[in-house]
Amino acid sequence: MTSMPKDASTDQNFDYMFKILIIGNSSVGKTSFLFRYADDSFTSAFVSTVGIDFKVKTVFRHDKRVKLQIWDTAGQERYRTITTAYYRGAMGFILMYDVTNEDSFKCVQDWVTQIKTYSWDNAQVVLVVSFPGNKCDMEDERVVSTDRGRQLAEQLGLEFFETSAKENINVKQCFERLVDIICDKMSETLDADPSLVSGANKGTRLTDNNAPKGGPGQNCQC
Amino acid sequence: SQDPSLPEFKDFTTATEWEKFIASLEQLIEEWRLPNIVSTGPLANVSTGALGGGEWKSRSETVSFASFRMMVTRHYLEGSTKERSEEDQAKEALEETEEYQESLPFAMDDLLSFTNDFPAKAHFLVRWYGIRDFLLITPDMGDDTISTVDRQKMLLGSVCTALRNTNCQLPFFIQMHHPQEKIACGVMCAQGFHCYFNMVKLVHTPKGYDTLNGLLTLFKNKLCNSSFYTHLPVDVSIRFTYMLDDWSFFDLNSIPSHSLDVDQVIKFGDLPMGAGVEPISEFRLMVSWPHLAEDVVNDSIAHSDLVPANAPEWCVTIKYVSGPYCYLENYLGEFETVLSKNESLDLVLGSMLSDDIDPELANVMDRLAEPKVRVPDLAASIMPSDTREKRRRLTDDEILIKFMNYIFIPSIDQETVLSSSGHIDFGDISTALGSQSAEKLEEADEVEKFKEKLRALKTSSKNSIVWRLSLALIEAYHTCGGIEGLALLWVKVVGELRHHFERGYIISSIEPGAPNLGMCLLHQKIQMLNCCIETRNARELRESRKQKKKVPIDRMANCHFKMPPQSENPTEGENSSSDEDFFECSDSTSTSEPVGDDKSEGTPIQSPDDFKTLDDAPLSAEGRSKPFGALKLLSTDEQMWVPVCQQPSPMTEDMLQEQADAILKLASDPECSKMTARLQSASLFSDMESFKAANPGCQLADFVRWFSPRDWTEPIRDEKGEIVKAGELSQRMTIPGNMWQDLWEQARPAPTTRQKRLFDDTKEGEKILHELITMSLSDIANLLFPCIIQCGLEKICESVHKGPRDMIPFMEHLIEKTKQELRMRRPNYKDLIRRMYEAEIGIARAESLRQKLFRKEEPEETESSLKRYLAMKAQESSTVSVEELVLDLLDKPEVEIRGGAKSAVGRAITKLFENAQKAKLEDTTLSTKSRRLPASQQFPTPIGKEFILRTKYPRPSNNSRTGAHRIYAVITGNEFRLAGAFTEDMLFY
Repeated sequence: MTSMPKDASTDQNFDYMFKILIIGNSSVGKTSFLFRYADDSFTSAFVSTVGIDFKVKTVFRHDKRVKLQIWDTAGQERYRTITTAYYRGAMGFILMYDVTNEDSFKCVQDWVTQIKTYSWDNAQVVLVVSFPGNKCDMEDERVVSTDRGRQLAEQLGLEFFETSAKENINVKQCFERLVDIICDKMSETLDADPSLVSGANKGTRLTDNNAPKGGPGQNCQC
Repeated sequence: SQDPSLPEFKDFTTATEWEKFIASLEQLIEEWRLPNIVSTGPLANVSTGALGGGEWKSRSETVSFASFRMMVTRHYLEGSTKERSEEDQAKEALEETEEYQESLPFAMDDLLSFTNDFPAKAHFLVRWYGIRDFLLITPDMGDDTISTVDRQKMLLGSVCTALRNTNCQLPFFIQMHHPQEKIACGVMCAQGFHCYFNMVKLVHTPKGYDTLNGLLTLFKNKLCNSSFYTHLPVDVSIRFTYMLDDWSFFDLNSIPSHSLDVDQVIKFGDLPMGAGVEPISEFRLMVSWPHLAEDVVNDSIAHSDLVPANAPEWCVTIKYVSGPYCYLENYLGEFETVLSKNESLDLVLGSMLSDDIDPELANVMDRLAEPKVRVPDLAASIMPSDTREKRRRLTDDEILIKFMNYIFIPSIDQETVLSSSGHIDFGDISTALGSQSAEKLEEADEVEKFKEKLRALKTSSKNSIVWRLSLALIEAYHTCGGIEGLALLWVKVVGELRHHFERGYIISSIEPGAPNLGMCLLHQKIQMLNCCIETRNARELRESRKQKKKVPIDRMANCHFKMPPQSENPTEGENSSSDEDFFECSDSTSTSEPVGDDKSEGTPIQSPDDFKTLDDAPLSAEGRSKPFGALKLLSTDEQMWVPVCQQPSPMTEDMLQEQADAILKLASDPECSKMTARLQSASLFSDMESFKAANPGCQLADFVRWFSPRDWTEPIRDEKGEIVKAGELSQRMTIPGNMWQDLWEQARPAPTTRQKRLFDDTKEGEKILHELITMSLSDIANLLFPCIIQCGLEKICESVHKGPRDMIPFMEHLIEKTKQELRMRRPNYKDLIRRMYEAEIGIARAESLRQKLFRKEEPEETESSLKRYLAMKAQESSTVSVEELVLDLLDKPEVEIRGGAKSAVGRAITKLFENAQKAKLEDTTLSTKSRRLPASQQFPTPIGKEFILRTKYPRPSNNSRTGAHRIYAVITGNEFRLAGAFTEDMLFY
């Protein structure tokens, strides 16, 4: 396992910081997915996550340094109350299900409801299917067809990715897309700043709102 | 020094400074591509916004005359001029001779055009000459000005030469004297014409020249040296401006007063709103007579036809007081300053803590300020002496009780009180709107929608204890002695909360359950306190119930006690007599015991059914909740039970943040990844203990089957039910030394009642109360602000329909903005208050305008009911159009009034001026009050008169071609100004 650079999480040198959560049923491959993206490493078995864990990755988007604080959550039912507390303030969610596990697919709707209940209304979500091994090897064990996944994603208004952490398929693309939609949403809300009183000093703060100067978590409440 | 034999040469090619200057002007003109500029067509009408409302642009560059630096600026109306294409140029060259005869240069057309006579907002040269594109040269030397005639002539000559050399048709002006004087002269050269622009400015108006007749005489004299040349047709435009800026004639009681009266009943939750001063400084009416023939009207010293009543065009403009005092802004803004006060409560109250404070309060303070450091002198020096009214002090019991009752005793009719109070009734509008009840309903709907949106803010639910607390505290700040009042009440409130906590009284008026992270922090903290109180009450209830059952259990327990030594037997657990003590003692004794679950797995479990408790549960297994499906334990084949589990500790967002920070800190070191898991393992550990207690003889695989079923693969059986492949734990659960196994080994069977509490209600409750009482003023204000902001927004939303047209989208945006801001750790309240102030001003202006324009017509001695009905109808429609005017005035710099004096709006305006006039006359004549004033007296003397006179006339001689001539005259109280443009034909003279 390649170790993360030591200063990655304390690095203050960024323009934006996005908090992203990876959620989904237990053992759908959330931790593997995160390790593949953040460290470009893969282990066939990670210890089941207890509570929450996180990794940091800085990417460049539109000439801006975007620091991603990615939270990995435990998927077990009993951890729901603990993990949902962390939803607030997250700007993006990666919702995963396992292609070989019907239950994990059936729960997608529930997870979306959880997001709606506990997160801020501007949070963005992408739906990710994981193949717990080599993608082509898994085709035999597949129980959720691509079409069903795509259809559900469309119905819920989510972007859809078929990924494999083991083979490093679509992992990076998925994160990049999520960052893009967060950026889009952000600039959308920053655009308008109406003024009632002509000549009143128009708001100048909108632009610096999302460029935190301080440390991690400074920008959001929880 | 030179050789005298050589002939002396003088270099005549050396350019003079003057020539250099002209060359630089020419270069500039060429560079800006001005020589071939032509108009794109006649200008649009002024009302559709050509010169006044179009987009003006400018471009500047510096030029120097010797060492005198100047700035040349081109001002042009975007799109009104263009560069002539080469084709056009060629074509024009052919037709040139005819062209010269046919049309005038475009700038001259503009001089004569009457479509753009009085633009609302434009450069002074544009207003006076009606031009669309021109150059202006201004000194760029600090205070240095062009003041002498010499310099003026020199510059004008240079400009003229440059224009002619480059064949540029744009007027070129020279700024004279100080820019404030607005005096310029200029020249325009085109098609063989020279047009000279000149100005005169006097402090006193020469007698007679403030009338149209006088100015006409002047104009004609200038053109043909004869005022008797009556056949010269002069086009005239006139505009008079009337102004109202003294509103003292209004009854004072008609202005809503919100002043904080000490004797007034405390109205909690009803924030004051509206302007405390007149927000409108000037109301101007401009009446104009555009495009008159000179002989149509008579305006002389003796008589004038020019009264507003017969002016065809009316136009109104408003000037506002900048930054007027507004109640809500002041109320919130002043409290905002508390955000920067870092003094502790102790410091604030230190100087106050004397014998006159009731002993209970002092007691609270004593308890809190552990080692009391008294710094009264310091406190006195830091706190500015409060100039506020001190008559109402919170030390006065009666008032304090009022405050405390408001906060802690929910009143049922709160809602209705709030909605009925604070509603400013503007008779006319509401009756007018009342007649259109559908519209009113719609408005109510809209307000409701806004309130719905407000509910989504991260604050507290309306009228919850947090809401009332916030409002009472800001009220205490404002009316009961500033920060001292605030601090006193805060201490009192926290004391009351502690009382609730200690006596186990649930705090009412707040949603039950774990802290709602969608609400503000104070809301979460109070909820958390309730969680503590509830948990403790439940525990105490359990304990007292056990007390009652104590005898039989004790007996059994005692006999049980003497049986096997407790530590050796994993199924041992029934130890009720120690229940009361358990929470006080830590689990250190038990964890130090050797845990031998896995080793003793195989041993058959005693199931002493005869030792049943009164709850009818087997003694060996404890804390069972319900059977877990049909699953059987792997080793004993017993039914698997779901244990009663401890719920994870409720958390407020600051606790969560603390935990997240701790995880972040740990996780930054890759080696500490295990630590983060360990840090969060308490809940998992507790679940394992419960599971063990409920399922004697279980193993980790059993636990996993319940807790994380995906980590267990069921055994594969063949048709006969024989196990082909044994069930197994997933790979990740079997990694040697992984935390799940570690924890499983450490966990001992213990029902929740004997476990270490995940949620220590006493500790958490004390922590919150301690935190609240040791806060600085700024922390307190931060806790209170969310609800206060929401209350303010609600107040504004109630009046959202009284504001300018953009009010609704503005408020929608503001609420959205607030929503986002309140999620920040440090919301920018200043900015939110500023935006709310903007809305407040908007509403205040609109209300003030309505008040001025919606004056009730005096009820005429009525005749038939039909007539009365018609009058009512008429008034109704006028109300609607006056409302339109009010909204227009708020949107636009100038509002044209269709129909002038005869329109409903015109009548309302006339009335307004008439009332002001009446008030003025009242001192001298008494009986004018009810009578209408004659038309000539309805309005005051105009504060400004503007005349534009223009004509075409051949100059300098009768044989010359006709050119455009124009005079613009403006006469105000202390200024008489003429701006003239006179053309001379340079080809035929």
